[in-house]
Amino acid sequence: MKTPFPAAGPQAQAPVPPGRAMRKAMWILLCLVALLVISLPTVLLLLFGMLPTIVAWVIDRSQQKYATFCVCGMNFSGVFPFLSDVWFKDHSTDAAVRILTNVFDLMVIYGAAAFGWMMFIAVPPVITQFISAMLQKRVATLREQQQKIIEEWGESVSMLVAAQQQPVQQAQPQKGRARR
Amino acid sequence: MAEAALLEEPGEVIPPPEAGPPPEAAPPPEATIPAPPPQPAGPPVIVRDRFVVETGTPIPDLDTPSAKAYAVEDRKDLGRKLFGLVCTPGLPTRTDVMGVLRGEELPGLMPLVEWDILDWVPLGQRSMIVIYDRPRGDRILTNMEAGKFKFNEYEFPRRVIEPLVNGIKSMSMFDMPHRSIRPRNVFFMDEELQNLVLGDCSTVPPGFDQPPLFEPIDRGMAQPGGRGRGGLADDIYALGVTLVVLILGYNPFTRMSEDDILKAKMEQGSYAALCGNLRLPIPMLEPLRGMLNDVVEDRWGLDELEGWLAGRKQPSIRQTPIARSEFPFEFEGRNHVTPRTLARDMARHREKGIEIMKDEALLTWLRRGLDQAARADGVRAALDLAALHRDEPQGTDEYLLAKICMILDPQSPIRYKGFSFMPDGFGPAMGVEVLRRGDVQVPTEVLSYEIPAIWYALQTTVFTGASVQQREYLQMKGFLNIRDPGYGWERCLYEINPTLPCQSGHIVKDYVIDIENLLPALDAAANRVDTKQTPMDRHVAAFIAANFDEDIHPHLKALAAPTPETSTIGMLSLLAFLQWKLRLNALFGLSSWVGGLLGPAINTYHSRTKRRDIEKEIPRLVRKGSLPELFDMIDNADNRKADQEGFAIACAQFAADEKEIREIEGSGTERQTKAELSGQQTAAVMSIMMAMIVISVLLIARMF
Repeated sequence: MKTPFPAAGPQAQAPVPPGRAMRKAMWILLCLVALLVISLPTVLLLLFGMLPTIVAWVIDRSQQKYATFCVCGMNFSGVFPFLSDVWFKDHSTDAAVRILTNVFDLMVIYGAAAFGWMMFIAVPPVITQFISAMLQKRVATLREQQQKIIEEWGESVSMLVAAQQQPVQQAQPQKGRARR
Repeated sequence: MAEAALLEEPGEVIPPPEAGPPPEAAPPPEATIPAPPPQPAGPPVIVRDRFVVETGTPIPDLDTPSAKAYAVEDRKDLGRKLFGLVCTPGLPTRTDVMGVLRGEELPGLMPLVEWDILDWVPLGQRSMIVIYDRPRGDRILTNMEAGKFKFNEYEFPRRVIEPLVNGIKSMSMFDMPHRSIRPRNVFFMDEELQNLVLGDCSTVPPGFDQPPLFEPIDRGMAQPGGRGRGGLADDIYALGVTLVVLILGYNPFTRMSEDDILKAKMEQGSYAALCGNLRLPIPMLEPLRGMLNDVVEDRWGLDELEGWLAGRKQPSIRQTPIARSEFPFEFEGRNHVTPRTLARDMARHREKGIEIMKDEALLTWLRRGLDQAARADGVRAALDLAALHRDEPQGTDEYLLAKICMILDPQSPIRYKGFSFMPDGFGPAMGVEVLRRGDVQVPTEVLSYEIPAIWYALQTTVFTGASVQQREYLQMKGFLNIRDPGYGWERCLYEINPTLPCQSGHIVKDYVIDIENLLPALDAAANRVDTKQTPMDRHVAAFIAANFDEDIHPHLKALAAPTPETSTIGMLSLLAFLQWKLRLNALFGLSSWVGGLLGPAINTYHSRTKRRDIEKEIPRLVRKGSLPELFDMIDNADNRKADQEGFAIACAQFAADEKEIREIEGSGTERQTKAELSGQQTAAVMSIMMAMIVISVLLIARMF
């Protein structure tokens, strides 16, 4: 049976009112325009250099946005050397366009982003394997500890624990049936 | 002739403590237990470091039907002539009588010097011996037959009756009847044949060795073990019959069977039956009529006897007429004119008795022949009640027959399935029935069905001890209904036979009658019995429960537990309690025996380490022979508490470990997802960190 009330939680938050979203978009646009006016080369470099990050942000549907952060970090690492050139050497739109049109520079920028994406693909399985190995080690330790307990206190310990857990397990479906 | 006659006196069925029939006893007609094979005489046995019992010197002339006589020497007085009567093992003895008579020189009684339990080689087991001063003048009948002792009717009261009355009087001072007064048990203590005394009465239950002739009608009908404690009146009666034989110098009833004698007594009255056809001195007729009166209340007592001996005239003797039928009732080929004889025959021929008890002819005979409508109504009521309880024990033919026999003859012994006993003689009767014939069923049924209660309800006269006896029967029934060790028929056996040796298979040959000797006997038994068996069998438990004054209910409760570990701890605790309370010395054998059986008790500890510690410790405590210490180690409260707490902690730890393992193993895809998320997070953090490092390095490079 469906509950008559909407479930509480972050996923089920009420939709943002249209007026408020509009205000937010207006503010972003205003900031962008201001940045374009103040530092057009930086904005150009960031806008085109960070395109992989923007793509990652779009395709990453997870709540935590780890893929975005991963790509973003490495992407920015690739952009920052050229950004520093613009800031400290020739802060002009030509310089920014020159960087963006240089294939090698773009390879560095997007290669860094690709490395970020590769990290996002390669690191989790390694970490998973590591955690799994840790847990297996923990289970082995616990089993060993249980064996020692049985050796000292007898099989009755395990039987007693099993007997204590059995009623709980049996009670659970009854609880479910009662609920239906 | 008298010797031959008196050879037929006893009716006991128990073999004496040596092979072959004793001279006083005829071959037991109903004996079912063969006499033990002859054993070689062993070396002399010393009793209480003073009396030397010559096992190779029997004195057959002084044997009793149930005890063999042997020469005894007093180390402190070598000139003193003694003899010892070795009792039949398995028969309850009268240690209360021995206790009061020991060391006393009482008029009319053979002096009892000492009694003890000794290793009796001829039987290959321990037995009781009662040591008496040896009568130098032999039995009175032997002297009469040999012509050594002669008297006339004027001397008879002074020379014979007076000492025997003194003997009865001596016993009555202790409120104990003699119950073994018969011609063959009367001795001269001196060679001059002047000091006449009554012989032994303590080696058998009261009246056990008495031929029915010397017992009052009611007690004579009971089986030897069930004749009951009786009282002064029964001694007076036995004295009366004894005097008849002594006056004549022979037993005039040898040609009559026990059955015919009883029937004659019942139909004519004891005096008429025994003295009616005899030529007795006229002065003796009055006391004999008084002593042989079948109505206990009207029977002469010591006052009348002493008054008569002193020459005082006694009040006239009231003779209660015997109710006789105008026409006979035929049963089993006999014509019965009294309900008493009919009841006896019905109890003896049970199948036919069951048939006629339901016959209207019996009721008609009671109403018309005897004019006893009330008795007929009683029989009718019993039949109706049995019909109501058809499917219950109270509705069985045997129960009904016993009840109707009691209605027909309320003074008779209780007779149920051939088991006959006076209500005050159930203990020895049960003892004989159970131990010698191995039949537990009938005595236990008597208790379960409360058959004695019928007997008490039918009594028209009040007698001392009735309420106490009834209370005892109820108590026995209570014990019988509990099946646990320490109760049951074994408990009844020891409660109502306080002098019965413990019948446990481990120690039956040790003749243990005192609780103080029980553990030492078990200690000695440890070397010869199979120590895989528990020392605490049902007989030992019941013996302890009946003879130990302390409260042992918790121990018995533990002993009765269905689990072997609790039962073992119960056994150990009871034995330890006994050793501690009785302050017994070290019991090495028993400790070792019990120590070997403690496996289940040790296993009650959860901790294996503790078990190993205890197992290592047991041999040390066994070497000390201390059961209390053994028990303290096995069932120490602190150790138990620590073990329980440790076990609880271990259980909790095990459960926590199990929970964690299940969480780890049971998470499945959830754990995978979590791991992947962790990996992604790690990758993101690494990426951000690397970006920050790159930015920092570049900025620093630009600046410097």
